[in-house]
Amino acid sequence: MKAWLQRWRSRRRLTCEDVNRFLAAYLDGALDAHTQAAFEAHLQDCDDCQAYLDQYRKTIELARQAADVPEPPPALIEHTLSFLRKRLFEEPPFNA
Amino acid sequence: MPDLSRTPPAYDLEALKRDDPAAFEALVRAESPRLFRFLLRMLGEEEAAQSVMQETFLQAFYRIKTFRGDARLTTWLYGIALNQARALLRKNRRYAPMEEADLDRLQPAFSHGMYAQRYRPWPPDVLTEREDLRRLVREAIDRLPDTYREIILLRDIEGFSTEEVAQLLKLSEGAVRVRLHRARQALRALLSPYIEQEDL
Ligand SMILES: [Zn+2]
Repeated sequence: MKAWLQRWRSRRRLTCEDVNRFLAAYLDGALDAHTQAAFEAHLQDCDDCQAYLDQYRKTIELARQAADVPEPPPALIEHTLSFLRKRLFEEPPFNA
Repeated sequence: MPDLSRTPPAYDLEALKRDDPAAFEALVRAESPRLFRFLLRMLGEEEAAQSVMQETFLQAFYRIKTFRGDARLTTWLYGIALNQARALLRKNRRYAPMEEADLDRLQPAFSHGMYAQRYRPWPPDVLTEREDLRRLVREAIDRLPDTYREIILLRDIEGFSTEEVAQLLKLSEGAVRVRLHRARQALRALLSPYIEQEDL
């Protein structure tokens, strides 16, 4: 089959809108083999979808990076355990 | 990413169900740091995060006998924490999140199945050299409606799998992906003006 015809056929299967709708499933590796092949064929051929996927991935990475929070206070665990001892038992129940 | 959810610690469930204090202490020690950070992201204040975490372990202790083991213990614990944190957020919310309709406007537009605008890849250094972006990203996440913010925190930041988030939120995996997708797209749209207007 001529290359352009093959491209046209595979591209015809999914629109940009379809590709967009499948992004989360694609990144989860949850597309069935047929859909994944059509997804990737469309992507090969479409600058907008490639660029959008790039931005989408970087958004996820930015979210992960931005969510850095300070280390928990050092006494956190001991405080929590003593709170629980007090609430649950009269006597210290944990191997204190 | 360091996907902590993929290496489940071996908790002694039988001992936990017998109310064995040592088993429970081991659970508290192992889960506290990560659970605290999750609650801190959710609630924005150390004091609130700590008190919700304590309440979460207390509830877990009371309810451990009802844990059926069809989810991981960690997922079950986060489910309790999430409910406690939601209740607190309802009581003293510090900001007004956007509405569902605002979120709609942040989704990409299509015309005849094609994107209605052109896109270009973002420069690679947005991930490494943009300290200023981190604050913007945090603010953007905080502006999302609660259900969208939660799903970004659980899936993209905590690294729970889609399956685990589905168990935690009592949704189908498909529903999790739809919500997650809308949240990510909204975030992308909120960030893109800052990334694209500055010449990198
Ligand atoms: Zn496309």
